[in-house]
Amino acid sequence: MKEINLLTLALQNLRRKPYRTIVIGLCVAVATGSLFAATIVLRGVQHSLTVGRARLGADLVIVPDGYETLAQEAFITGQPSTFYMSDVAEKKISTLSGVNQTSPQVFVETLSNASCCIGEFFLVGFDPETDFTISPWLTTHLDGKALGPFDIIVGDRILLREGETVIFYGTDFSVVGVLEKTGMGIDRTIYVPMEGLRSMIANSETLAEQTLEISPNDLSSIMVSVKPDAEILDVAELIEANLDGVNVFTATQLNQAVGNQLQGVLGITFGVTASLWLMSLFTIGLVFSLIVNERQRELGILRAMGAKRKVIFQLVMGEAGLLTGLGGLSGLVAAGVLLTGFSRLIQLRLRIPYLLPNVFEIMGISLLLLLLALFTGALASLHPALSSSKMEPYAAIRKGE
Amino acid sequence: MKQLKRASTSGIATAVLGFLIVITPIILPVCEGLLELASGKQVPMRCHWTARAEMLLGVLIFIIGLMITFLKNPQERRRLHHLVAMLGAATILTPIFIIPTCMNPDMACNLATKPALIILGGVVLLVGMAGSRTPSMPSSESTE
Amino acid sequence: MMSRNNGNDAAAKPVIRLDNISKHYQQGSETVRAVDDVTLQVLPGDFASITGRSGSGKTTLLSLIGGLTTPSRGEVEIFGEAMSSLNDDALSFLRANRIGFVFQFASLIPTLTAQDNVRLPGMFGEKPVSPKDAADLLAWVGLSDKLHNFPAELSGGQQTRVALARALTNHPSLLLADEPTGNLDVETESEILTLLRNLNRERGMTIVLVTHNPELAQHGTRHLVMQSGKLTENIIVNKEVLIRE
Repeated sequence: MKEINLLTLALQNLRRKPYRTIVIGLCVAVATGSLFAATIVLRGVQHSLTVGRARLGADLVIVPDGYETLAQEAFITGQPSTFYMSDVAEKKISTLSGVNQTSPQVFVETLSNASCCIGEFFLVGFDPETDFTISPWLTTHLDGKALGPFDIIVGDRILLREGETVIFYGTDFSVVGVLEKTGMGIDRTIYVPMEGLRSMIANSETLAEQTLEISPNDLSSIMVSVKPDAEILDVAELIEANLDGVNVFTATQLNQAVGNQLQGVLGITFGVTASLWLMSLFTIGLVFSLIVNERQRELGILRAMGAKRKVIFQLVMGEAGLLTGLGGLSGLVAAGVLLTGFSRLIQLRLRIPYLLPNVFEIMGISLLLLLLALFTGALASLHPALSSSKMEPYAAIRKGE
Repeated sequence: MKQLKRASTSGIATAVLGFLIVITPIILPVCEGLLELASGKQVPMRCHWTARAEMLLGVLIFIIGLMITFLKNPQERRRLHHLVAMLGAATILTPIFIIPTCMNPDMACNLATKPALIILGGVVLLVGMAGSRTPSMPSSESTE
Repeated sequence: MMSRNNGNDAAAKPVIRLDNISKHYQQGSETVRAVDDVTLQVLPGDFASITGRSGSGKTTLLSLIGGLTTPSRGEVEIFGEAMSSLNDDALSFLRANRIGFVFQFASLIPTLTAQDNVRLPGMFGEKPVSPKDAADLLAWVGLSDKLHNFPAELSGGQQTRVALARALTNHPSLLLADEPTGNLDVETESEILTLLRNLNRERGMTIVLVTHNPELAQHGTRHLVMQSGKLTENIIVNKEVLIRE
């Protein structure tokens, strides 16, 4: 060994009983890893909701009565749903006080054997004249170029890229852009200008395998932006009071819908993790009391060699810190690898919007959890460290005989 | 003695990892559907062959793990660890480049099978690298 | 130049002075007098052996001398300094730099090699011990080929030699040895004793050795006998004591 110091000594002491070290390290690793995973998932959901809401653009979303849940599901996970109401609703809403702008959308589900995709995906017809969801993106990415009726913009998870062409219900479309990832339903959505969509619907009878039974006056949702000086909830109430057969939800309610879904799962996860931490704390405390008891004579002899009380204290604490630090680090790495590898599976199974937080936030969370692991080791070993450092060398040597 | 014990541990770990790689496509199956070719023939999807290749790699890793466990010569064990590292790398590269899984990221093979195999391949690679770096000299025995 | 006197030269300041020291323990309702009113001086260059039956208080006496425990009564002076005036840090400094300890069963750190075990006191002394210095010490005790062996690979005698080398790392003036040969065979015991004698005669090191074997006491310069905590005999053995001029 090149250098003999407290750190190398502590490391050697941990190597003395490899199985015990591994078991405790594993305990801390599991606790740290679980907490890391739960925190990253929670932050990932929050991040996705923030990005998704910004992309959504609308303050209010109006859908036919009874389809609120399906609509929210569509926005959150991209699970396609089709429901329709008359476009009379839009005309009425646009006249109400507090309403700044309205924009209609029509939902169509792709056929299961569409060439672009395996499974059903969302076709959303939008009005380029009035839309405020896609248009900001169009302005920045297409330099204000006019969008043709058969030019489509796709979400990140659609297997189409710029310049490619695709056929939906017998009509050709070409991809002019791909939206950035949001972790929400937008990623699985294909935006089609209303003119192109209506044309596709009309021609589906002759060109497609399946005829689309959607009337030219049918709308699936109406996106509403509220005037700056108006209260969003007041406008929502006004719309519900003036229109029958519609449901209004806000972006906040969308978040709440996600929150409710997550509450149960995350609640259990955080609860289990907290129990694991407590268990680790007690286990480490107990084990280090045993370790100090076992090595009483050795610690006494170190004192006889000239080690100060402070050194014995630091040695015991250092061992605990090293153990929990390494365990915590292993847990973080393992959880990070698993989260990254299985992120899509987690998202689908939990049916949540999810976008990995930025790297600085992840590093910050990791550092905090590592400190927590170290603190746990320090707290657990405090009493054994204090008692062993205070003991008279002779008493320690005799006790260990 | 310590050398032998360390080698046994790494050999057993390698064998266990090999076994896990073999059973991964069974526990986390790849896509089950069939593809219809232009000729009308129905063939399994690409990921079916990825799984087969990975299972073969798993078997090889398992066997080499057993060899490491029971071999006494440290030089030979070191060489086998080099081989384990290479097979670990192959396990990672197969579903990505050699026989890539399906294109759609939401398909079964990409959701679970592929990440699990890559992670296991990574662990095999690390075990192989660690084992190929241990000193080959046996520790000296006490003469009294 | 070395010369010898009979151990009574008033000019030689004692390395160790014990003034009516006692050490008591409470064992349940009983008070155990492990050391009872002992007065003693050990001069520079002395090789004092303490013998006595098991439980006679010899190990406790040695621990009092080394500052490993504090007396219930009386004063211990080491190198002219009263131990009661030293705080724990000062005592630790003393043990790290001026006193070497050898214990029964060696008590080496099992996960450190012989060389690293010898280097260990360097962590607490004034400067670290280099691998070369440790190797030299191990060579002196006859273990130059065992530098990289772990304690489990060494015999009892070899472990004691390593412990002795470890005790000498910081060049102490005083060596305290508590039954270092307690679990060794006669031949190995003799080898260890030879090393201690060499330390005393060639380097003038003051040594206090606790041993169960009264025969070993004949090889030193002073033989102290403990019985039930009391010092019953204090014999100058070889009629000569080494002092420095």
